[in-house]
Amino acid sequence: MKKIIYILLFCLVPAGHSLAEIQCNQFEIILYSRVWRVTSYFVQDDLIINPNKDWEMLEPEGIAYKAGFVYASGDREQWSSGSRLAIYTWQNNVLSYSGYKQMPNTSPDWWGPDGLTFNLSGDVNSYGSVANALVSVEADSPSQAGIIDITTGAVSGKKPITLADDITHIANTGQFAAIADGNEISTVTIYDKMLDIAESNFPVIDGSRGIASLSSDFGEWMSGDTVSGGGFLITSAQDGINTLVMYDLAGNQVGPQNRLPAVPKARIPLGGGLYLIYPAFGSIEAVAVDQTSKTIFIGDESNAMIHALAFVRLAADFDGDGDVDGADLEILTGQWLLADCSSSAWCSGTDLDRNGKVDFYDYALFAEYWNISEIY
Amino acid sequence: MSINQHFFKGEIIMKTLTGLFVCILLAGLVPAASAVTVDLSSPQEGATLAPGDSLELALTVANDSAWLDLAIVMMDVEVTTADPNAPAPGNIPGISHKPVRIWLAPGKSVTRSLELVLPDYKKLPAGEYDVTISVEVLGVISQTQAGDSVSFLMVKE
Repeated sequence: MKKIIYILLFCLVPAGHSLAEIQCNQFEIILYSRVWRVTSYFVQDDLIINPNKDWEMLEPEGIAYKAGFVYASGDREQWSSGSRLAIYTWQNNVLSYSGYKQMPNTSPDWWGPDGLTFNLSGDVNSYGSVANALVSVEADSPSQAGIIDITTGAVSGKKPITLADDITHIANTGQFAAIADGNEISTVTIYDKMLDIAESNFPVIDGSRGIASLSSDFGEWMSGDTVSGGGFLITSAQDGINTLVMYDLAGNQVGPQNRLPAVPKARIPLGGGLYLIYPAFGSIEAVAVDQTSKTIFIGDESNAMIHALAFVRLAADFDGDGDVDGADLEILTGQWLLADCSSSAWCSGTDLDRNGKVDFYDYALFAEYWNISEIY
Repeated sequence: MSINQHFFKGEIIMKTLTGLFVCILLAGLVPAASAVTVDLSSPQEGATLAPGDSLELALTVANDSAWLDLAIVMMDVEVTTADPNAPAPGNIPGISHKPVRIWLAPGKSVTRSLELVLPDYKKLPAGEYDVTISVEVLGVISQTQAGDSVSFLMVKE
């Protein structure tokens, strides 16, 4: 009888519902004195083949970017078909699901990596540098690294590694950096180019589980500070607070800790006027950067989302013409003392500290940008 | 067999039966903790709303079992009228609600916020309608199910 009830109930699941990503939020935030447009995609159901039989879910813990494609992975579950690598295109600031590759999904070979990175060095004596190779780490016990063939999903070259929640290849030095959120402290460990020897490590902000390397040019462009040799962009999720922080290769924090907001809430349509409401950011676990288009991709495990943060303009360049001048000051004065700024537009962007009011604090911030110009 | 032996044997049988009775009684009193449960609530429950208004909902799904479970949550919105002369709209056709899937660790619960923006219901004539939002949860691993609902009044002009 119970089986009959289940069959009837499963029949209620609309078999034809969309299995592609759902854009569920779009808003702007300020990071490192620049405006970034956040577009959030709910991706949980993208990997499903048959919604009535297949319980695979994508909750992104690993994310990597290369040449217009975003790759995402999450933990596999032993009873699900699991172990799928999701592939998206990123074109014209739009993320589109384009399919998946099945990785090994039977014990003991199953693979559901927590971290992904490309090694684009071309150095044949470096781990995972061949064409179509995607370096990955699986934080299971024992923790391992493996090389995924992005054309087939096959995994090769497995080797043990100290516990790692994410990994990134450092283009400038040829090394790898792995990040692990331990019980009391989060640590970045620098490995040699074969991922064999842990050469050094340094502590980072608690709750850190995502890491992406940055070139020195990009790091300096983002932070406005010197980031000699390159740096890291690190995601932290701790006690419901999500943070992006930059470090240099020696482990020195560069610029402020950028707290990511919980609002505006994401709205995931379920049909018939019904929406699932999530915080703007849930638990960010992975990060990748396209330095060419100036886009940051963030994997959000608890929200089952991929967030794309695309650079828009300098925060005080309200008219978006590439400089901060009298025309921007005119826009600021036009919004002066408004007290109902909301996340939809933040009073034409002039509420620079995002406290809902345009006041002297915003004017002080604006003054710091005065006469700065930047070609977009 | 002596009288003492008869008495001793009878005492063992009585103790065994009493023990069995107590076990059966306790088994009946202790709930079988091996299921998914669900609670659907709204601060606007019982309120009067109109098409276009929005309703906040809180959905809590719990796993009382000792195993990880996958909860499949299916929502449904039903519009009914008590007016015997009005056409019974039943469940508005053409609306399919995408299921929500949640992994639940043993003994854990998850609360999700939902919002219902009342559609225009263009096919409905003006009048008062009861709107019921129901939820059905299936525990895929535990092979259990649970349901709950909230209702409110909708006035369509």
